[in-house]
Amino acid sequence: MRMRITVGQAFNKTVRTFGQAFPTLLAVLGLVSLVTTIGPPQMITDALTIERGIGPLVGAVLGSVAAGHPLTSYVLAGELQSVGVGLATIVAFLVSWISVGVVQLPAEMASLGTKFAICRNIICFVSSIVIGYLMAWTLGILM
Amino acid sequence: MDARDLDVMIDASSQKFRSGWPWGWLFFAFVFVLYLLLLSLKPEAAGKALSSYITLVVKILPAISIVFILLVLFHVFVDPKQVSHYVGKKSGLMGWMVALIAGIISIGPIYPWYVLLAELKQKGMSPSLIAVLLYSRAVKPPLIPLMIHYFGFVFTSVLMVYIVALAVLNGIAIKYLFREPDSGSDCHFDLPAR
Repeated sequence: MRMRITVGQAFNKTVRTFGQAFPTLLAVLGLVSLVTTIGPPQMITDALTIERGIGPLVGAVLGSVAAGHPLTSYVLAGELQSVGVGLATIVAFLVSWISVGVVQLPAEMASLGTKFAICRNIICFVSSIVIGYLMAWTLGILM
Repeated sequence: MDARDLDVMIDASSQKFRSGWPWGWLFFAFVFVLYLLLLSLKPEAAGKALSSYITLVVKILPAISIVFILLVLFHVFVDPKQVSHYVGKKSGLMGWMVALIAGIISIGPIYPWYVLLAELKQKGMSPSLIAVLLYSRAVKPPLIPLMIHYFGFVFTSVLMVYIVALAVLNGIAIKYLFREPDSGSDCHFDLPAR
């Protein structure tokens, strides 16, 4: 592959990307610390209903409506897992965050067509829940 | 439309994305206010929350540093517009492979990609390949160290395999929904004049 931009330009571009993602990331970490300090982990776990039924669906809905750098979703999902949120829920949240874009839907419809954008997002939403259950099943066997 | 026009459109799209409201800072300010409220109501809990916050930030710093370096390298070596050379009409199996790899190595906000993909669609890129590319964006190589840091190597590896498999299945689903004809296996790309 040819070198498209210089290292300096790439560095500046990455600083800009981080500049956009960092405030949200720091805020999410702040919120996670606050919630886990005030509310006991068991309460958070119960609130998210986890693997018992609709946990992955809730995770996928939250991931779909959330917007922001994927970095934030990894950190948030990691912290949720540390307080006991189930694997399928975590995976559905992670995958839907990056593959489903409710906030970006108008832009996607305008660029790639309404039918395409809606069909694609619905398929991705369902896929994120499927991956959630598949991951829980696979890791249950492997680990 | 030539490559220069496309460059201008992508840059304009990126600029539009960057010039929006500073939601991140507003969210940060909101959380800051929550801490102040807690400090006034329960100073001890606020202290504990702040201590936990600092621990969390320090814990993720090494992984974030690696992500930063990888992002710089990706910006230097990966050119999204190179994709346009390989996903034209009748690109066959090669088109699917290129769409998959392009999605995996693509970084940055999605909005410039919409512009590029709309242009590629005009040039004959099929909806199924667009779907594959957009779904495989869920694999983020520069962020893999952070994912391993949080979830471990086995979790990360298995998830990446499933995402790639589901990206292909998504493409197949879109292919049938849009009743696309078989693209064949020959590789007659719409190669622009170099």
